Amino acid sequence: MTAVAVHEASAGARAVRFTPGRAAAILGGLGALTAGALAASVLVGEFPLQLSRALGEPGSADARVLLGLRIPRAVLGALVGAALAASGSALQALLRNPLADPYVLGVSGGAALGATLALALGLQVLAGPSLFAFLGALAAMALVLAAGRSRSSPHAALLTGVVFNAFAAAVITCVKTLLTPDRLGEVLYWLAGSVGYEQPRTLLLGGGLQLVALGVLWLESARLNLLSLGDEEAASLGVPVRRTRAVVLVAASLSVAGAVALAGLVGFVGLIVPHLLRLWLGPDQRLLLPASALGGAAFLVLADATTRLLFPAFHAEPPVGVVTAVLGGPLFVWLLNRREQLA
Amino acid sequence: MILALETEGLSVGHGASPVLSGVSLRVAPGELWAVLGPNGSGKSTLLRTVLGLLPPLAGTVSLLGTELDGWRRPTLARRVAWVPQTFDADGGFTGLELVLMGRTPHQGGWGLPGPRDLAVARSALAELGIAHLAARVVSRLSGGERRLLLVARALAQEPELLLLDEPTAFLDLQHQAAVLERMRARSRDGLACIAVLHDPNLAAAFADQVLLLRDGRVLGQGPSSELLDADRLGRLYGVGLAEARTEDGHRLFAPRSAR
Repeated sequence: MTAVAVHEASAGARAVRFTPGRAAAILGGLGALTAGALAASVLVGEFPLQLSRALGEPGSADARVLLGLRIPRAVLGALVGAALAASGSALQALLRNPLADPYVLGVSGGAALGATLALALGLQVLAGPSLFAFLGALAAMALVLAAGRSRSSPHAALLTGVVFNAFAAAVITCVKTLLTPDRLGEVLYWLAGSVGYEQPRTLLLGGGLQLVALGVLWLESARLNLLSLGDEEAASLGVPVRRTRAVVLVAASLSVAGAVALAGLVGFVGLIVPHLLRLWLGPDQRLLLPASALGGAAFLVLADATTRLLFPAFHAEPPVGVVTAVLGGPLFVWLLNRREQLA
Repeated sequence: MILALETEGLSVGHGASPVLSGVSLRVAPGELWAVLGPNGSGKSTLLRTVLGLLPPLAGTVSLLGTELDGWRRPTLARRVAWVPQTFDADGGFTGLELVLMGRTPHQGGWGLPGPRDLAVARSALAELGIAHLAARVVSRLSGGERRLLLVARALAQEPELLLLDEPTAFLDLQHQAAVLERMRARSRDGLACIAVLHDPNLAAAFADQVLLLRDGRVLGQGPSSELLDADRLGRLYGVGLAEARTEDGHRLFAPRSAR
């Protein structure tokens, strides 16, 4: 083969980046990475776990820590990370805004408001703040979508969400000033975002919700690609714009509300993971969305393991939201710089 | 014969007051139409209304024999294509990925291209002389190259009616002529083509029919050979025009210098 032919063949290979074979290879690799992160994270913690004893002696403390604490916590981290990163990717395409994070639609404000009120009023019945966070997120989402729908601009929902988040922050600050120091501590810790213990039943419910929501997003991913060009172009290429937009918004919001209910407000995952992967894989949501889910799961599981490694230094576990922000902030600035240099 | 496009007393605009009214147009398969008029005369709005992206304020639109209301988006996209005036997307897709999006109306929901889709997309690129843009990332291309990719995407849709909103904007002279040459060749094969143009010389050279728009109404419509003269174009654009003829009979128009 001549040099020119080789060059053209390789150019041809790169011209279409989404092929089932390549997608399977990449997703398989990311899946293995996530599995590795899960395995590593269950071994890390304050209690010096011996895997052989944990697996060999069912009644031992090691076994109870592994099965009762470490594995549920790792699964929770994976669920939340997958949800935030995949919905972040979908919302960035849908709103055509690279800075859209999963919380833009007012979900964070609603969830925080719901949880804060639950903690402040001592409504610890049922599932504690989680249930109220979920309800708050759903209420905020419904409000924002209803307000955004009356306008034709795709940015209406985004702007309404930003305004609602600011409004919720004001109400939360007001509530905080009225709280006793104990309650205030609880609220602050919850707002910072943390992956703690959840009952298997809750995990199952959360997992089911994410499976459905992210599954729907993946099914819509080809239409999402077209929507990222603009509503009118998408319509001219055969996309039923209103229906697709509504389905994606509702699925992404449900996913984020579910994640927030389980872990509070964990920042940056939904922003960094899709951006990092987009640099490598391109903007095609058919690949980027599932890749973000796997990458987000691995990222948050590792970030949570880091909080446990930091225990000796702080004599407490910092919330995982702090770790993602401390890692994520600089990483994001570096990424943005790199992008500018490339462009 | 089923008309590609038929409008009757059509009024178009954003909101309540029309920017353009009284458009009654009959476009047959195989015709290449040029829409000419000053900025803001409603040319783009007309195309978008015809495509159902904006609701008509009055009158009717019928595409390929069926009223606009009777079309579903996915079915319409298999038969009518549109080249928008601007491309402001993030543009991280490659040229071929963008052109393949024109195949989505013909594919299943997930848009996995088959061999025929790839062949059609590649031949659309080749037809416009831009096969080398296949693996290039769109955000790093020039405005003219993006324009050509959008035209290629519309061709990959294999439409029966093609609406082009300033297809020659940002293009160099060679590519302006090449795009319109391809449109004319396609129209000889039965494609109905409506192109918004800003250059009356291109309209005179390539279009069979012209639609002239000014001050919210139709100034004239019909065969370009009959309608395009310095006097009428001068009134259309509100500027004095000189007319000349080349040796082989082509008409040329240029603004009269104010000197």
